[in-house]
Amino acid sequence: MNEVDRLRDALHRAVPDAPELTGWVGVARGKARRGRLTAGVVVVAVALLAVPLAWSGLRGSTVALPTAPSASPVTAQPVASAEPVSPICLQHREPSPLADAGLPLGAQQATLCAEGTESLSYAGIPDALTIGVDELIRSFNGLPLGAANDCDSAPGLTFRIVFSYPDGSARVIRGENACRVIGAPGGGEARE
Amino acid sequence: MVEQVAEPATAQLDLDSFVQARGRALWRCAWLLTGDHHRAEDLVQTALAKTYHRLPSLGTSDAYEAYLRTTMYHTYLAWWRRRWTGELPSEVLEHAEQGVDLELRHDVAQALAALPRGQRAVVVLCYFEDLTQAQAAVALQISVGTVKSQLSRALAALRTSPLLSKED
Repeated sequence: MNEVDRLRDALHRAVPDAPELTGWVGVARGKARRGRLTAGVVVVAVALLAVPLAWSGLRGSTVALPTAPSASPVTAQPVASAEPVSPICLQHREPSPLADAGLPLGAQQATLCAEGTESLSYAGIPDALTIGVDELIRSFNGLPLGAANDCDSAPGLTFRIVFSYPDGSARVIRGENACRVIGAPGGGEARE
Repeated sequence: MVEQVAEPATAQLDLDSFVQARGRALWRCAWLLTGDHHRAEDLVQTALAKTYHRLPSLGTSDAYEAYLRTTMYHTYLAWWRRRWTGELPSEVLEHAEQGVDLELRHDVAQALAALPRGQRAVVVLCYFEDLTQAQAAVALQISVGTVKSQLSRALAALRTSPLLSKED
């Protein structure tokens, strides 16, 4: 028996019996859902760069976020910035479950929200993005699924984007850095 | 109001069948890659999570398995770039099975753990999954020449390990 045959034989004899497969599909589907949420990080990272720039350039032409009559600007706590926080951010805190098809198009606006962490120096933007919202959604929907495992061990800054639809509904994506994020500090890998 | 979005049920049915038919074989490959029961399970499940939405469109189990295999190996390589600490497997005795050559398993685990991840992947593909070098190149999305050189280096390293250096 030559060395290659010995190696083949050794590999086949050494491998343990596989465990029971019960529950694997459920675990895989759960990972996929979490991965989709993780993928939202990329959008947030892009939005963090693009939205403030867009705001500074387009502030005069964007439509201001409609606020409830009784709503008054609320200061984010405990974030460092004193920027007022949109009521949209306060109303929609939990991320929405996402199907494979992703987010539906047709949102009127996208509101970038920051979650309150002391290390976060960015408090979100009080106005909503109303131009190119579908492009943002298409970008998100086009992202491949990524594993959420890396997020488990490396918590980081957390952000949300709230997409508001004409029927009054909303979808929320939430992201954390230190995952598979383009250009995020500590992210390591680019998206796959 | 946050609207719930339903996921298609058909994909899950197909995935159930696939996992029952091929899950154990995939896990065995994953064990050789990771040297650990739990990491192997995690690796297969992560690859399933990344790919199961493609199951309906790929049409056949073979096509899906090829896609899944590529994803699993790429996931393994990506994980080890970020997380691998160079620890050698320690679980061999924890999962002892009756009638198993534990010394051989230990030798295999140690020998594979000493290989760079790329060499380890081609060894598993070519000498355990019995893929040709061309098929392994497709699975890893590298050239056949790279597969050949990786195998050559891997064999050279394995010759110095107890796995191949021991006399029969």
